[in-house]
Amino acid sequence: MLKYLQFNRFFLAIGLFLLSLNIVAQTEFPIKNGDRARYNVQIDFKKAYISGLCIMLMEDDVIKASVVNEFGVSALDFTYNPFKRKVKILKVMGKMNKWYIKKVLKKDLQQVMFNLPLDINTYEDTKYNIKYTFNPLDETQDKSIHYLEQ
Amino acid sequence: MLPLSLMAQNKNTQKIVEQIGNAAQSMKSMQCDFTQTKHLKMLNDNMVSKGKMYYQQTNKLHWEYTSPYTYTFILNDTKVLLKKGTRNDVIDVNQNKMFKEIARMMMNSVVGKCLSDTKSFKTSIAETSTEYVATLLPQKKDLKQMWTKLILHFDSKQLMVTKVEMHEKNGDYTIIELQNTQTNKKIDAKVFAIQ
Repeated sequence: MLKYLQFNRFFLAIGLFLLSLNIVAQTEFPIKNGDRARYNVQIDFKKAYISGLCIMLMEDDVIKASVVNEFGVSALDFTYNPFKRKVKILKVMGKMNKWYIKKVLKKDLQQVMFNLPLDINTYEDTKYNIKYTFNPLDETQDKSIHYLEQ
Repeated sequence: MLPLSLMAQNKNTQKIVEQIGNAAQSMKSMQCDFTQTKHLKMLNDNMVSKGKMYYQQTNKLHWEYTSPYTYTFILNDTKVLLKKGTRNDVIDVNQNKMFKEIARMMMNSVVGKCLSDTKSFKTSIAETSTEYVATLLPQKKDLKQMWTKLILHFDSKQLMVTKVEMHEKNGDYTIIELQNTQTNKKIDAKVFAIQ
């Protein structure tokens, strides 16, 4: 019986290891210095939302990230240390530049960044009713809608 | 009293602003493709996006990103429609000061009307053999928060905007280049439909 349990535990461990390899292979999250990643971002609040892109680069074992809206206006700059699971907010767009907003953002982004390598793309802050969605950007397609000229 | 060279420069700037203003007035519609390059200093990276733009006098603008993401901004008089995926949001610009500013800025930059917006910008113009290069320094607090300067490039023959540069405090900048520009062609009304 003991042998059977040990045997099963061994296969479970192997299975989890292979699954984790598979997760790393599927994700675009930066895992080594020089890696870059791009995500479509949407942050939904009760009555409004912010959307745009999050561009990431891993440098000196820290991930540097910038969130810009679709028009190219910078909304947020931050760093994430995956070893310490720490987010540092560097810059926040004008009206969001308040200490209490930055505090919430820091805490939530720590969870978002922890989740992304596990392919968990959404995170909900139930206390403040904020939903974060980070989906890898598909840069291969042109999604033009062509309008007919009269 | 202003030095003579500065007076001449001011006079020249005034003349060019007037020329561009007249051209903008006579332009009933405009459509083009655009390429937007956002340079992120912190990441030493460029984010390039492409799209289509349609403008119709006096208050209609369709600004659509088609690659690598889709996002559409349609201004039709006082209403703005934002399309992102399946989500459509309609905003009344009169109820939202920030959107009123964004809509006004986008439209005025595209046709060059912001050169004469002296309340928002201090303008100077340089001239090359093929283009006028207008440097606009924001004067309003909210504009100063977003940009240190805007640079508009005009084709000096057609008096139309060919490139817009937006520079931010942290060294980031965005360049929008307009291509395949067509003017005064009829544009389907559904391009500006808010629904």
